[in-house]
Amino acid sequence: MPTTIPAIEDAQTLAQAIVDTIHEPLIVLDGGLRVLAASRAFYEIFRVDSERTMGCLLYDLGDGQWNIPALRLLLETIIPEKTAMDGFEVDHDFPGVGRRTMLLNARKVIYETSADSTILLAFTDITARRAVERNLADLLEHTEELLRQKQVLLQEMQHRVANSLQIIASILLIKARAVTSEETRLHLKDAHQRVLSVAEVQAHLHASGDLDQIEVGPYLSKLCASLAASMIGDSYPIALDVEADHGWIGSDKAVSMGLIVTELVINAIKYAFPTTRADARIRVGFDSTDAGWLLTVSDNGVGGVETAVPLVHGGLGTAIVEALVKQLDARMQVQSAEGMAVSIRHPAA
Amino acid sequence: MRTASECMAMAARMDGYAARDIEPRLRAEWTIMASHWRGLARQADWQDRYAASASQSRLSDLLLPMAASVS
Repeated sequence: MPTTIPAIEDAQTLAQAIVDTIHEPLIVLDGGLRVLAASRAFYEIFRVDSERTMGCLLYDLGDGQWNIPALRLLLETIIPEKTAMDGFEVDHDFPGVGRRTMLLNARKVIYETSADSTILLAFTDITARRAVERNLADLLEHTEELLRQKQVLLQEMQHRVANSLQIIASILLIKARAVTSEETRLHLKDAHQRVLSVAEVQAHLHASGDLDQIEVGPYLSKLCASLAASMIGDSYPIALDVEADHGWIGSDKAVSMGLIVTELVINAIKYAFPTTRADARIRVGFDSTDAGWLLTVSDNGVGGVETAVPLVHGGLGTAIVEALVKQLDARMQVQSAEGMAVSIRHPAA
Repeated sequence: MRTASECMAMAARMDGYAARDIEPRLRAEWTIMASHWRGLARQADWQDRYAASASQSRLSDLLLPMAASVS
């Protein structure tokens, strides 16, 4: 059983001790908003003394520093209706203290044996907390702005890289037109096409944004359309078809795959059809399963030794393809019977 | 694509952000971004000069600015 308080005087002493013990400013008001008691913290923080506080109207305290419209709203409108209010925020410039943000908690105490009422009003100084919150909000805003600006910078860099590749390609083309040796011209044109393919791969990956994965079908279709536009003339028509399922691959692997397709398609265009044929066709296929993916580049050309020569005996294109296949951790298989078919199989990760 | 002067304007803007931010990490990031924009301005300068030279078929004019920008 708790010990009972024997006398009213003792109860008042206990109440004042409780008020004084609280670290935060607290005042006790009567029904007419005059101060009945105040905590030590109240006197210290708001720099007022008990003589000019006790019995005074709250709004007259400290040369009227508590005559705040928001506080009047709380005490005269909200508390009479609700009897309690927590976390009522007041931002005010207190004379001698400075601008402070206070959280006010108020309770109206109604007695059973009396018509009088008492209001307990506690203050929590959240000025420092609000400053930290503002700093954090600023930091977050600036960080978001930084990310936006990085994206702008990245896009500009990608545009400039693409422009550089176009310039390199145009220089190679200018040189190809200028040289007299047919072999040198072909090499320069190959180099020109390779640079254009790298540019196309880069442009496609750029257009894919920040995606880690890209859809293979549209990617290969766009790449092959670019190859066909620059390498297949109207007088020497070869159909270049892409048949791909809805598979996706990592953007890092997509670069290697694009360059492999470029080399194999260039090879087929150059060697598979030594004479003009109406049904000349190169097919680029992509199939993905749970076991991995399969990339095929095949043609219905002459096949046999003639087409396989560059791939069997090596050349720059072959070296590039072999290096890229190795980079992908994939396996390449070449079949040269009816036409030529190169399969690159990549196991699932 | 931005011109060289537009890239320099972006660099100045990043410098402004660096001066504004007190947080060291953010300040360093803005400074690096400003540096990148200045690099892009140099790149834009020679690329635009190349385009102008190429359009006038004066490729010899291209080579010197390109070499200078690389160094």
